Amino acid sequence: MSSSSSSSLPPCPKKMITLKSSDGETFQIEETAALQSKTLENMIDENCASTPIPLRSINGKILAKVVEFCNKHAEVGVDAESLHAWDAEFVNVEYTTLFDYILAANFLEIPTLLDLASGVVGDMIKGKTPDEIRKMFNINDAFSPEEEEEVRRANQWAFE
Amino acid sequence: MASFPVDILMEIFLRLSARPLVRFRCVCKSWNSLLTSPFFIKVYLERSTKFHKFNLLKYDLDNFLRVQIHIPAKNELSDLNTSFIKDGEKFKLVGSCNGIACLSSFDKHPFESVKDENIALPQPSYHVSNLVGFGFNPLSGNPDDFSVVNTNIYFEQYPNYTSQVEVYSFRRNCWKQLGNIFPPSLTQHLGNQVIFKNFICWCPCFRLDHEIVTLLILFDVVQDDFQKMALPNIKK
Repeated sequence: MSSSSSSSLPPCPKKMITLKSSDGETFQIEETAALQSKTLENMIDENCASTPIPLRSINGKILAKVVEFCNKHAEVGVDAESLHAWDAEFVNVEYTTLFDYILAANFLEIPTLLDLASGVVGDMIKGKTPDEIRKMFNINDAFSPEEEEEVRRANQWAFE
Repeated sequence: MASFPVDILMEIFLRLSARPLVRFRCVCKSWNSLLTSPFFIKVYLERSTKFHKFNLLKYDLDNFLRVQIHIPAKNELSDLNTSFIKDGEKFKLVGSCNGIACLSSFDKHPFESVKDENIALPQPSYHVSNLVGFGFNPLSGNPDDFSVVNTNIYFEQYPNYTSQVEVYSFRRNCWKQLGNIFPPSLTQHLGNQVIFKNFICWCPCFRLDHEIVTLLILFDVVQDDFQKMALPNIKK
């Protein structure tokens, strides 16, 4: 049972739900903020959100940030410009963290976060060489140099 | 991070423009097969047409063509960048498809233009002012499988004529001769094209024996073939 303890009695008690990360940390999030996640929305609709929701693919560090993102985007009275600045700061992190955001946003189905993080990764990689990308994404099924040259030749216009 | 889930890669790729995506084909085998899969291309095109919707406005003034890009979402209007065409040189808009416009200058090579990027195509065998169509093969699984249709018609003693049709494939980067396959329509002025699936469609209207004739001409970019269709007979 979640017994949120506000000092003064709120006029209308806010409905909270509890999320549990892969490493066992728990986070409280207001239902209105949680509704940005389609996955959580479905669970709320089906009355499956009264007990802590286990999120086995998201660790505590990332889940804390995701909750922070949902809270910010559920805030009322934030103008578009300052939210934009806040978003830019939010994704000013290592690309490995961005990958985690994308994975979490994909799992929880949060379109705003998915769009934001995927867009930033896209901007990061669009000018990179295949070698740089292979390192970044830890890729080990590269073409042989001859094969790579062949693919490159077949798509020459994109390299000009 | 052992392997990156395909649906996450999709999310990143869907937000990029075509050029880096085509370059990414040589990153590795799995990226190449994802980026060239008909599934990815279909989703990519659907998303692009939904989120980056824009209209091309064509002003056909006397001796002068002006093309503008209108973005409804921002209600923005800007001129299509045609700086690669020499000042004062006449050109025409052949057609547009999947965010790419095909222009042809009357004396020089045809161009394909993507936003601010443009590519000059090799010279066809016949006069480029007869370029009539620009289409895309949605079934090939390649995002760059565009075709440009060039037709030349030689009018002989009425009602005889012969045609020479050639098609440029962006992917093969060459012109292919298709021979005398233009359907008898007695007009080379096909007018503006409309794209429907794998067909480039025109609806020319011309005078024949003191009668106005209108018909539908289709070019199938998969079969590389013309088809002719009568319009329904609508009585006044």
